[in-house]
Amino acid sequence: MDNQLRKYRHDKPSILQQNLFVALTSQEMIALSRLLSIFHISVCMPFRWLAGKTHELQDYEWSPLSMSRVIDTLFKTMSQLQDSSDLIEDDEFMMNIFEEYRDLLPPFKKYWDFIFEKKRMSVVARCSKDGSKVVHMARLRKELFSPTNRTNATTKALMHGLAKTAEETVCKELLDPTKTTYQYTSQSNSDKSYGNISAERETLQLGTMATNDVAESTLGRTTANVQRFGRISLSSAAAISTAKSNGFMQQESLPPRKRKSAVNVRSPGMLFGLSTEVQHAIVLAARLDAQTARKANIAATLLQFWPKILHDRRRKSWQRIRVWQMHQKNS
Amino acid sequence: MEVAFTTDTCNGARKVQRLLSEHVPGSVTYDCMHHLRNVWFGAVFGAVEKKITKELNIHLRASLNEIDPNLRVTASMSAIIRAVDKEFSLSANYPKGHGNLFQEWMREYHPGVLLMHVERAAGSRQDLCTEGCTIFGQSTAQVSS
Repeated sequence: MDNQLRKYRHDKPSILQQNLFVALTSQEMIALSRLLSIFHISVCMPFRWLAGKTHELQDYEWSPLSMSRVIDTLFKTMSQLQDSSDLIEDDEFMMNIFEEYRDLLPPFKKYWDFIFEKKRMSVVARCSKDGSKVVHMARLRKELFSPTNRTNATTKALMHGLAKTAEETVCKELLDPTKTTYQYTSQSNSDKSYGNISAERETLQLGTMATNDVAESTLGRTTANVQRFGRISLSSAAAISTAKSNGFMQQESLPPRKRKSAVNVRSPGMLFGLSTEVQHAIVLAARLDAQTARKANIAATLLQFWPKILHDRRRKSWQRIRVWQMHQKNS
Repeated sequence: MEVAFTTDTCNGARKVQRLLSEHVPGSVTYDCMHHLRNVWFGAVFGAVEKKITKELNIHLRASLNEIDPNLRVTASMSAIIRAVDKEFSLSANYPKGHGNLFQEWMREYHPGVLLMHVERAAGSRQDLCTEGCTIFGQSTAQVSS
């Protein structure tokens, strides 16, 4: 692989591959990646879980409005880090930023223990029988906060400098009145800051989502359909996406490859809840419509290409005329 | 349950949110927390990358001036994660990459070593930089391979 990254093409080295090689061996880039990894496991992962699971935590009196409290905690921690950037390498401090929520929300504690104590991953091996499994996130955490690799350990000073910039930036972002997040902080004293949220209002919001996951997922699937089917109309791509997300055509029996991991037999989709006659009628209507839809699709495709076809024909005609004129001139 | 409208920070979406909330009395509006998190860390990437680039420019100005800007040789972490994904991803989705070769090399010379997944970098992903960096521990393996 070293040869691949250093190989020459047309007697010149590949600058892009050499750039990757240099970047992966550069202390500056290793320091940056170490810093971002620390932020990922200590801030992004817990914040993402809390935001994504908010709608499932209604039994613990946790609503989307409670996320303002998490933002306050983050701001408090970042301010502490600003005063003492050495704390970025302190495992206990960084990994316990959201400790109060682990005590408050048992499912969050369960997730945390699972990720850093139970979740395992196979090591590199010729076949699955040869390899053992390790708790990879625990290993990553250990290497991030107490590096054993000499190259990683030498990035300490550089990482502290970068950490200071990062912490200042996060605090600046959180306290910028022109940014959306500001209204969620206690400093703003707005109706969305945690101190101003009434218990009654919070109770009304229990069970609602704190993210756009449902909308983003539908949009993502629509994009995938457009990429997969080429010139499919946007409405059809969106319809397929929605039918799949709602499990409209989901069968009761699981496919054989999924039976092993599934705990319960899933409920049938809306299509199978209808009477047999209506099901047949829907399939028949789709089959009858298929020819018309295909013709309409071809017509739409031709419509897109028609200007190009006309342009090509005109160009070819002009070429023929020019050839004929030259022929006449020569003769 | 109260009616709530949640959007990202896109101007168009926020306008729809505002109009809808005006038409539904008693409704509340708030923002997608995933997007907010990515906005803060997006600013962090920008700031730290700027600092790194400034430091690297002091040492490498002469060499960098010789490289065509079209080749996009930068200290951008997202660009490096995309390059690592193309070169080392075990799914080998990028035809010019060497994911399969890398896997074989690891099996041959480093059995028993933990090889974490290279983050999928296709499309636009806001949290690519933090999530992709968790592979940093294996950069030694990728360089020595």
